[in-house]
Amino acid sequence: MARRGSAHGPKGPPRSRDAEAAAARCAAARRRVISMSYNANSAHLGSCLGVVEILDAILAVSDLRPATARAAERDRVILSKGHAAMAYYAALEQYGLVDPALLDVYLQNGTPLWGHVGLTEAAPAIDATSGSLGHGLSLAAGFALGHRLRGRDDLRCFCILSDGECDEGATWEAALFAGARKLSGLTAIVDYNHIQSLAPTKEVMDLEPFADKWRSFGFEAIELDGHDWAALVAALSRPSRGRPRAILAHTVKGKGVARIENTVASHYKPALAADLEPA
Amino acid sequence: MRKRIIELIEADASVDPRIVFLTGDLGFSFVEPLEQALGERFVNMGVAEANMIGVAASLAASGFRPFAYSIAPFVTARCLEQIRNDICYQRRAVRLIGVGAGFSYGTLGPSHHALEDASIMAALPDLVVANPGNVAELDRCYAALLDDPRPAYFRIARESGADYGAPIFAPQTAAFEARRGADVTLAASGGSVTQCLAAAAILAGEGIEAGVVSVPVPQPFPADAFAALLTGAPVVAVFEGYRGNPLSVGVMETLLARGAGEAFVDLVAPQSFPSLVGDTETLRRRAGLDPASIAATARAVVATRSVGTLGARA
Repeated sequence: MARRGSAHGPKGPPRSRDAEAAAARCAAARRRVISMSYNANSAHLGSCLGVVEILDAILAVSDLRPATARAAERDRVILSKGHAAMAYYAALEQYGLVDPALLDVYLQNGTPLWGHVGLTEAAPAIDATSGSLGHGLSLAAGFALGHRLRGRDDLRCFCILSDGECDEGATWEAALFAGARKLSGLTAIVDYNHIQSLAPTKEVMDLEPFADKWRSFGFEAIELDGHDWAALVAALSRPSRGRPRAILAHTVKGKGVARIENTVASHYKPALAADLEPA
Repeated sequence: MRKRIIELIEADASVDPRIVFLTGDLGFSFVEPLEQALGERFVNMGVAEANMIGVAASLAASGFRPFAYSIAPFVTARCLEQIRNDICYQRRAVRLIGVGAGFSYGTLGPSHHALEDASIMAALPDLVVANPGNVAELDRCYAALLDDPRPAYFRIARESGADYGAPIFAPQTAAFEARRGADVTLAASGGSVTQCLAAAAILAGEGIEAGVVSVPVPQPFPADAFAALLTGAPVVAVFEGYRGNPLSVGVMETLLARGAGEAFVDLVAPQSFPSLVGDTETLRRRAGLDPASIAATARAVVATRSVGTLGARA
């Protein structure tokens, strides 16, 4: 397998830097998420629609491809906010990493893809189970430590967190560890949609000054628009500064379905038939 | 026993580059040789057990053989959901090492006692619970589980246990006679085997011959191997933990499946936190798990052929 020259860059342009192609993938993923939510009457639509560009950008810069999915040594992607499972499956579909037929039968009895991400032979690209919040950053840190012990700090570990799960102490245990150990292969991307399960994060458990918190834990912190694919790719591809990276990606929960954007209810209500039509 | 498990890992460390030892900032005066042997594969994870378990799970996923070490309640109850989801659900072959089985930490108080740990671990899918009662059993458990693809919890007592030996066993055959005796069978696991042997000595002085069966891997319970040792004599299950522990449950299930109607008593610790200070022996005595109390229970069950639980309702 061809490898990048060093840590995370300089490594030339990502495999797909074409913003237009990315926009097309993201639009297709959004349509897929909406249809899965509608067909399966599944919740977490808002959480899924908001994280589409983040997931696509991570897969774009990672070495995760059908040919590498079963490789022992490769980049790792951990969706710690496991309730965004539909978005993850839809992103994997865009990269040929899951059988589209499995998405057609999402949540039907006897099928392998759960409503929160689980390990499955059907999709070996999936690196970790999630669903209970606050586990993923430790799992990603464990992969990063494993890479280091093998002398493979060039490999990357991407962990997508929700803002709500930054309430969890375990998230900060992992951050403290990754910062102290300077796990430079680790990148935490927070889907910062400012809404947690019952109310805005500012009301429930204000995270600000959020970037400062990550920096004080030993991370390089970057804030950006989580729907700006090119900005995401640029931030994900920046050369390592010898410490883990946190990307605080400001997003719109429910992005792309106007009636549910920025609403708490979008966490719970499935898609409607009308949502299937292009806006 | 703590020293021994460190020695076992240390012996493997030089020949197996997959071994990684994580500690929750504990093991003073025990783990230092391991740090020397493992180098960067020895990682002090700080006082952060939840993170330690998640990291261990992904190390296992990466082809390493991670051990995660702490005092028993801290490496089980504190990080239970990480064990459940990250290790068991993902089927990661992490070895959890909990030191301080039962009342081992005596006067340090109930925060450090481990009486529910085995029950909780045994409730999780696929997790093997090894509860060695002496150094020989620890050696056998370690060897038997070394290449096992399942995660495992090693429940390690501070005391070394009596020298009653241990045959080579696999997890599914981990039941053997530590002492022969036809009048009553004391079925025990971990440090309680030593207590039962002392109880058997007391009973022998009264003309009651107690057999002692040791079950060093109580979860999954080695039902066939245990059943093969039953004689029809009354059975007392003895475990330094609460009711519902894997030894008690396994013994009861085996007896019910046999349907031979043996008299049976489940001898466990009262399901409550002691309010007054006690050292290990005192706590054991108060719980009815010391040799004299075990002997008294066995004496009574031999006399009355009763069936029931002692301790849980105390």
